[in-house]
Amino acid sequence: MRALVALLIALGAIVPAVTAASVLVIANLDTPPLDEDTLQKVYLGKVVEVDGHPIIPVNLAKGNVLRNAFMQQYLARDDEKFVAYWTVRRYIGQGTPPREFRTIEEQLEFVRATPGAVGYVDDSVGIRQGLRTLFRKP
Amino acid sequence: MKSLVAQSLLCAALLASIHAIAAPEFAITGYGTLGYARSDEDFRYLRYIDRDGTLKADSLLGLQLEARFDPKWSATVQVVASAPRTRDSGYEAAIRWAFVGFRPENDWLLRFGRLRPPVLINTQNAEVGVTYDQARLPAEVYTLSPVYDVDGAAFTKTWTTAGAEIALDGYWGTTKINYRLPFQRFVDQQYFPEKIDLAGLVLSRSSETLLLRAGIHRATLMARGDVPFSQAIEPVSIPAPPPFGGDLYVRSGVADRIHVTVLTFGADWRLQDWRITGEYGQRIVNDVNYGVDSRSAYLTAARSVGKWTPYVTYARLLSGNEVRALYRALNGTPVPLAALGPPLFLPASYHSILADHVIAYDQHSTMLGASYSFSATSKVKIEWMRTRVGLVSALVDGDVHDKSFNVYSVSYSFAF
Repeated sequence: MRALVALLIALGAIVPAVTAASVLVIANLDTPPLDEDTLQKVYLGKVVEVDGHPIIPVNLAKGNVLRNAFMQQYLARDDEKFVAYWTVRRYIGQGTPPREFRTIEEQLEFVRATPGAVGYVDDSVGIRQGLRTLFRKP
Repeated sequence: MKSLVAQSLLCAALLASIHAIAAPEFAITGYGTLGYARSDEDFRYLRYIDRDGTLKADSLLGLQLEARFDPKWSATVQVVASAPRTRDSGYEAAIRWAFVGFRPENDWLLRFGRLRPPVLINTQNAEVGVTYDQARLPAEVYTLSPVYDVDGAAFTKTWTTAGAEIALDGYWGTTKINYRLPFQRFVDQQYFPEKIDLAGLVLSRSSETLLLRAGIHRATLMARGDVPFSQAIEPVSIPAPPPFGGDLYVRSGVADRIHVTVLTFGADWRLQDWRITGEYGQRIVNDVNYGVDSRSAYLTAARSVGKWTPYVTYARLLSGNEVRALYRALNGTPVPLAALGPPLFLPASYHSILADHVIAYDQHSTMLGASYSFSATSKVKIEWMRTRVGLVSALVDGDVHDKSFNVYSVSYSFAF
């Protein structure tokens, strides 16, 4: 019983830490500024350029805790709905979902090297040179 | 097979030409359905469903190769393995889509190649079972056209307003098919080779809770083989007292093409856990009097309960008055005895044979089913459907009139 209580306490300590993570939306230095509504449209495939500059959104792989937090905080939907949305959109010929990366490091590398790229990290990621921070939540 | 190779080469050439623009990013995705359906009758419904049960009515596997060159340019090729469209036996793999997509700006999407326009709400994703809850989209409406894929071009222009998006889709293209003629009393299954030119405009308004759609489409059918279209089936009077004389129905005139105007309206309303979907389709044919003039509609009410989504659907398909009257007249008029002998030597069943070439529909179905969603890309569905054939239905193989039957379906759909 004690072990169970300890496990629950431990889980309680972990879960708030994850859900409360600050999600920073970052971009390549050449990516133009976006407002939050535009960011949502970029991830839903409705906006592909801003002021003539191509915008390339990227995502972390399905199941990543940070991805779930990004979906909730910036796209106002859970990951299941996001996947369902893109499954339909993909198979009605309206585009492809954002490219996915397995790790934050891979994503950062891509965003840093790709003009127009937009991604996200949590604020524990200290190395953000060569990147622009677009939004920070909460 | 030759056709598939030719299509593949065409796609490769298309992709190679785009490859020159930029290094592409490739993605291979896919979807599939393993579906089993059986009815409680010996005759076949939707080509395959009968008392013996079948996997062929709903099962398929699709693979999609996407190449994204930059946010504006992309290319897509989709191959689907399923029951064949040009015969009833075996399986086939066919290229459904092979198009290049170009978004010159946010509000425009242009596509060139083999593509599928948004005729009905689920036309484009009809084969991707995981994207809707029904075990089978209502055949009464979704068989408006025997084919929805065209080789041509399409555009989508989008306007964004507060809380809603308005889209105008336009397309034009051509396709070649083998049209399956009604298969009722005579055992020779026939496919009629046709070339179809298609063009249409579809206006949609979508918000978080409501999708409204209206479309007008124009199909021009041309016979590809040696046999042209007849203009009409009409009676000629043999001037003698019955049963020696009377009306003898004959094919008259030749139509080098048949124009079909199709009107579509649809609404999809989501309110919390509820989803109400309804669509209407009408085919208008003025060039010939033996089909496929019809009206059809369905209404589905579904409610999400956790991972379950139970639903009920009612669907109706009815041919135009003139077509049904012709079908009745052919079956109700005996062949005059004078026509059985020289010089015509017609069989006594001649009018029945002609009637079987009238593409007539009079059926309605009620579906009660549920889907269970394991995830956004994995879904199991079960359904009980009760279909009533009135005068006749070209979707049923057999001499079936004023009869109800049941179809039981279970399927698993996925995407990856």
